Amino acid sequence: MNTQPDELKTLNRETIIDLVGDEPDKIQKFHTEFLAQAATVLKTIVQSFNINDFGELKSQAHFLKTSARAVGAERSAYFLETIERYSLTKNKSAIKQIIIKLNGEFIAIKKELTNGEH
Amino acid sequence: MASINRIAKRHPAVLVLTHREDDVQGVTQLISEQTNDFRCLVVRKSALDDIEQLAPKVILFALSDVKKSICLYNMLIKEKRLVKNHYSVLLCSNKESGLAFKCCLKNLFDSYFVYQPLYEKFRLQLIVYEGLKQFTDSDTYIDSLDSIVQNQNEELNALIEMGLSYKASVVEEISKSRDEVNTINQDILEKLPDSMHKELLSELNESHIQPLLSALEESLSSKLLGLVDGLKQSQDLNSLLMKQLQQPIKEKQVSDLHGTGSSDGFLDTPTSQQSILLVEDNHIYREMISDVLTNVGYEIEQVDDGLAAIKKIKLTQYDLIVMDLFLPNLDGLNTTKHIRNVGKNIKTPVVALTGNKNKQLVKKWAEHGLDGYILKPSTKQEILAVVNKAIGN
Repeated sequence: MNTQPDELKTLNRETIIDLVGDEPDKIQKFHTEFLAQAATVLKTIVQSFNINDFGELKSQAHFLKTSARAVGAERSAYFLETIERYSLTKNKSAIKQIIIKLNGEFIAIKKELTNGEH
Repeated sequence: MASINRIAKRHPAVLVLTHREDDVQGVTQLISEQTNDFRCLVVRKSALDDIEQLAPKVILFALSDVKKSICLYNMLIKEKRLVKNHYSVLLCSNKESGLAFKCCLKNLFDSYFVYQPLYEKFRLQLIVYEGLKQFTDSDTYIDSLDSIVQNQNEELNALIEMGLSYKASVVEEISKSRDEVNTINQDILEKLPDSMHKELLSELNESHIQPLLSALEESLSSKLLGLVDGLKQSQDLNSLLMKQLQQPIKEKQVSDLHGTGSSDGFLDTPTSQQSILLVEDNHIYREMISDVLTNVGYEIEQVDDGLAAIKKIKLTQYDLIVMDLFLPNLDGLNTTKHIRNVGKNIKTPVVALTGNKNKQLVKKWAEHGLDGYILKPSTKQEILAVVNKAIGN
C-alpha cells in the first residue's frame, strides 16, 4: 500500500460491494462484526504494546488488516500495515502515534456507519 | 508475573522454562487461570539442578528458539533429571511451528504449541490439561474446558428433550383415544338389544380396532424412539468429535476413522457438489469468501488454522483448498508441505490467500505446489476466476 492516508477513505463501500455483492443487510452484518473485532484486537494491540511484545503486535495488526481491507476500511488498513512495519524495527514511539490514529479511525467508522445509509 | 511466582509451590505440577519471563507472560497468565500448581523458571546455569529439584510433571519449553529447547530437553533426559512419565510440551514461534511439529511426530515432545503469536488460548489450556490428567484426577483442571464442550452439546440436549416430550405426549394421546373408543364401544354395546350385534361389535373391536390402535401406537413409538436414538447418536458423535479435536493428531486415530468410511454418517458423504476447504484465521474474511463460493454452488468447509486443516485433509478429499499464508499454529506454506506428503489431498490444487507484500513468500510457497493466488481482499469476480481456473471449471 504505497498510497498516502489522505488519499484513502475511512470506509470505501465499493470494496465490500465488489466482494460480497450489493446486499445491504449482509454488508451491515459484516461492518458490525468488523467493529466488534476491531475493538477486541485493538485491546490486544495495546496490551502487546505495553509489554513490548512486538511479535504479537505485528501478528495482531496483520490479522485485523485482512478484515479492514475486506470491509473497505482503507485508512485503518493503512495504519495497521504501518504498525506491522514499525513493529519490525520496534519503534515504540511511532507505534504509539499510529495506535492513537487507528483508534480515531475506528470511531470515525462507527460514526459513519451510524449516520450513513446502507 | 511476580504474583504468579509467589503462589508457586516447591514441587509444581507444571513448569514453564524460558530465557525471559516477559516472553511467556501470556502463557503463564493462561496457565494460572487453569491451576495454581505451576511455576515459571528462567533458565540459567543452574537450570538442570533447579528443574530436578522442582520435579515437574508437565514441562513447557519456551526458550528463545526451538533448537535451545531441544538441547535443554535432551540434556535433562540424558542426565535423568526428570520424573519418568513427565509430559513435555514445546512452545515455539509461528515460524518454527514446522520444526516443532516434526519434533512431536518423532515423539521427542508430547505436544507443541505456538505461543508467538498467542492465538489459540484454549488449546494451550487443553494441552496442559492433557498433561495433567495423566497424573491426577482431571476434575480439578477441567472446569473451563468442560464448559466449552457443554456449550457445543446444548443444542443437541435441547433437541433430545424435545423429542422425548413429543413421545410422551403422543403416547398419552393414543392411550386417551383408546380409552375413549372403548367407552364408546361399551356404550354402543349396552344400547344394542340384540346379543348377536354385541358379539359382532366385540369381535370387530378385538380383531380390528384394537390391533390397529396398537399398531399405530407401536409405529409412532418406534419412530419417535428412532428420532431420539438418532439425536443421541448425534450427541455421541458430537462428543467424539470434540474429543478428537481436543487430542493431538495421532496416526492411529486417523487410520481408525478412515476405516469407518463415510457410510456411518460421521464423515461427509461424497456428493456431486465440488467441495472446497477454506483455511483462513480471520472469521470475517473467511465468511465473505465462503459466501462468494457458496453462492455459486461450491460446498465449503472452513477451518481457522493449519493444524485443523491437516486434520480435515486426512479425512476428506477436497476438490480445492483455499488457504491463507499467515495462520496460527502452522502457516500456509508448511501446511501445504504436509498436504503434498500425506493424506487424500496430495494432488488437490491449493490456492493462496495473500497480501500483495508477500510475493517472495508466495513464490517460495509455489515451489511446494500452488495453483494460484488471491490477493486480499479482491473482488468476487477475481476470486471466482482464480477458484474456477484452479478447480478446472
